[in-house]
Amino acid sequence: MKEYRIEAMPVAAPSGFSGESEVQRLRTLYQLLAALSRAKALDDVYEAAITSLLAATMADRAAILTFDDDGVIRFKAWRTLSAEYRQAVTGHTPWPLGTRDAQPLVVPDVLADKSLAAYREFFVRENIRAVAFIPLTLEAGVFGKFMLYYDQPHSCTLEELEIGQAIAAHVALATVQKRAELASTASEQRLQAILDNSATVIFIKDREGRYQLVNRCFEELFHVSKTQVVGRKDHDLFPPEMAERFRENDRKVLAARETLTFEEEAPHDDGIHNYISIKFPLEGTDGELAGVCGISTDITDRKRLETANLHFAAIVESSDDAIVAKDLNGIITSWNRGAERLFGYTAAEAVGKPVSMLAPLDSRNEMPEILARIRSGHRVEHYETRRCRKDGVIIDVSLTVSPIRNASGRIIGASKIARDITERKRAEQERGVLLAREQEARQTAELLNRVSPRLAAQLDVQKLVEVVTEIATTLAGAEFGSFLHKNEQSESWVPAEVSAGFPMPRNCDLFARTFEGEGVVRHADLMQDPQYGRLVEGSRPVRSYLAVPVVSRSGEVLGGLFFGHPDAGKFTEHHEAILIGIASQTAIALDNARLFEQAQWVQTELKRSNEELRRANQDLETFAYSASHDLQEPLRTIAISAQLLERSGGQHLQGEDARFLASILGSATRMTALIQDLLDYVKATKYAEGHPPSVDATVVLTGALQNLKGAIEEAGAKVTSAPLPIICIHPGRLAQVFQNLISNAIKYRGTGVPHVHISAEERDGWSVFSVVDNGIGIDAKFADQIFGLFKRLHSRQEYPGSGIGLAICQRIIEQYGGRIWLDKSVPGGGSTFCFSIPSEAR
Amino acid sequence: MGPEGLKPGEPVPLTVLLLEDNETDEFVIREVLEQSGHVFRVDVARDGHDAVEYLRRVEDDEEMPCPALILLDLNVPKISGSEVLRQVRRSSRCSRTPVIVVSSSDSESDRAAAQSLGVQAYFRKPANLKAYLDLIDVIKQVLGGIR
Repeated sequence: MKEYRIEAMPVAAPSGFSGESEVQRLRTLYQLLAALSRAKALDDVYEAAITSLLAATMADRAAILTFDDDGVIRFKAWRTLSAEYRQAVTGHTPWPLGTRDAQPLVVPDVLADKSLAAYREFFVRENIRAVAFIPLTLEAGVFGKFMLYYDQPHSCTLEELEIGQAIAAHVALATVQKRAELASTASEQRLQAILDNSATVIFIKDREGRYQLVNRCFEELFHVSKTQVVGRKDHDLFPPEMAERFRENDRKVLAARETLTFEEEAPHDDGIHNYISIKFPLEGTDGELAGVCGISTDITDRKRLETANLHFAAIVESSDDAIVAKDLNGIITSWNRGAERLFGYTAAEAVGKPVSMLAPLDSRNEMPEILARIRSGHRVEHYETRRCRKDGVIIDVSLTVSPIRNASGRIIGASKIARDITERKRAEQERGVLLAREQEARQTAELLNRVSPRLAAQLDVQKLVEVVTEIATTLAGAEFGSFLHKNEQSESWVPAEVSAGFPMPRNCDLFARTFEGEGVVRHADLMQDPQYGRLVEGSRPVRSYLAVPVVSRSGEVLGGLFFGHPDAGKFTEHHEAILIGIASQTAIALDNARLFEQAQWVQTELKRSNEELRRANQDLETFAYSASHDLQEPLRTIAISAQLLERSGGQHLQGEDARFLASILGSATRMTALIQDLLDYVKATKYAEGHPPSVDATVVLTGALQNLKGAIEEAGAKVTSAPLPIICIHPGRLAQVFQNLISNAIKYRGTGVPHVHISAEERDGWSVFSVVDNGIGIDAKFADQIFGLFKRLHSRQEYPGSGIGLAICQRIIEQYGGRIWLDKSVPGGGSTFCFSIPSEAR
Repeated sequence: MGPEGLKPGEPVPLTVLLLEDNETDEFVIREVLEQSGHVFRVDVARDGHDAVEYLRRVEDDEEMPCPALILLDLNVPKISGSEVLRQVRRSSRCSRTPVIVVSSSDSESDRAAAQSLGVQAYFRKPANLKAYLDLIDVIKQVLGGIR
């Protein structure tokens, strides 16, 4: 643009501007200022400017133009200017952008000015005769212009230009302000948009930790709005530990005056989330730190993934199985410790190598096949194959291969789990062998089972031997079979009948070996044998030979089973096994048969002796009864006769005669009693038949006490007992013993209440009973005597009784193998009688 | 033995057959019978044979009265008291005659045998004279309402 100089500066002519106009001009300025202060937007500024210009100058029209970013000056506001005009003069400016010290320019007559000749046409059309240019300037220079348009040629007055410049100055400032404001707003808005659309949490806090700014992410995550947060501190929004942590980190940043990164935690709806927070200090206007800005990224998922990965990696590492990952080209990408152990290669040696290095030479083609399946997304499970270790050893493995997919689902490789199944395979093989053997053994056992009942049932030794020989010969597949008792081999130990079946000469050491306990003797071919070969020449030779000893449980050789066959090699280990089984069954059967015979004999004997016993008892009883009766009869007659005599001549009998009579009577009576006692003694002491049962002594005692009830009550005696054991004795006998001992204890009582106590204790399988009384006691020197039949220590007048009670007890106790004795006794101090009976356990 | 003469006005004596070989016992039993409140005429058999003969005579001779009471000792010579009892029960005239066994035995078998043959009482001969008087009660009981 050309520089224009004003051709002429009109001298300020008082062209109507008086003091009034001064006031007018001032008012206009005030209005302008007021309007500018109210202006919200740049348009308002321009409008206000134009209004002022028109009011303050004599211009008919006015316009404002500013430079745009592309350096072209353009119309921003105007009054009454056509579009064509504006278009025509756009870009025309006396001053380039940024000109300093620009001065207003006036063109009093545009039609006369040569420099504007190009626009003459437009001026005419627009009816513009004079223009004035007023620069809009700031520190940086010209940034725009005012245009004043006059319909008539006009030379601007100084005042006009002055007021124009004043307006320009104000407008320039206002424009700049507004532009700055706009820019600021625009940039603020841009910034806010960035903040709000950020997926990270962004915030600004002042030095004291009060929130000044938070973005939308913050609002949404923590369910607060900006207005709720701004001005608040962390302690108002978050749990105390977290808030404390945040503030601590803020303080660190303020202290360090530089950007720091922290890991922080914040509560979300679904729990605590982990964040990486980048915090940096914000400088205030005074050079001091104004606050802290933080940008926090949620790494919870990342952390979880990390943890999961670590976990997973740990599983893989610690697994006993070999876990190997490879890419689709078969190159090993990961190799765990289990793989190191299984294959012998370290991870360093294996990773990066082709997985085919593990395959033994002969099976290399299976790998591509597996890979192909993997590529198509399939899994290969429990594929058994062989692999080659680093040291060359071939191992059996079971493989499971699965595809590895990336996040988008594409297959990027394969993961292989390999398990060493060498041991398992070996065990399977062994098992197979064992099964086969077990099968064989079971068959043998079944065979023997079928055989053994027949043997067991056979208690007759002769028949037994026949059965055994028959069965065994069949089982052995032998032509000849024989059982020989050991004790038969004295001189002719092969009975003729048997030797017909077993064509061997009698004096054969071959057989002797079996009897001497050599065990199983087997020859495939006797004819080949140097020792025995000559023995088997003849019409029916024995070539195959098998002999099994029959040994009883005690180890004694009872005999042997001998088998032969004219063909060689007929008897196998299997036959041996079967026949050993039969031999042992036979031994058992023979033992049983022997035992049975013995048992039979014992039974018979027992029956016989029992019979004798019964008969003896019967005889005794009969004898006792009849003896007692026969003895008692005459006694009775003596008694009756004496009484008759007494009755008839009693008062006449004097002195000695009466005494003699009394003596007859007395003796008869006593004799009767003695005979009765003797009868009782016999009854009480005959052998009780049958094995003594187990009886509860307490129960028997109770019964005995019942029987003694009268005597006990009459004596006012107290009978007590301790718990008594179970013993082997016939109950009636035990009752007899108790009754005798207790009635003695009561009979031979002292002064005071008679007390009897019965107790028992266990001594080596015997129950030792004690009957303790507080009666008159017995002098120890009589301890043995008192058990004698009819032996008494007192006269009949002192204490009644015949003296057989203890004798009966002794006979009874001794019949059960026990003993009865006076344990201790002191005259006047009571007595203790003891007796022993076998306890139940015996 | 033969019937004794009766004085007019005197009650007819009851015949008692006593099988007893012991004279002392016979003496006492006679006394007991006298004190029993009945008038008895006692026919004594010393052994079983005699008793059986006596019973046969009674069977054959209608004139001879059947005993009103038989007192049997089991342990007598020749034929036993039990056998005699059997004969009594088999007889036609005297099968229902009350029998009291008066024996020194108290064995179960004797009692059982007597029971099965049907005796009215079993009295055990005591050794005590006074105890013999218990027989009176037994006789009274057995004879009951006769006279």
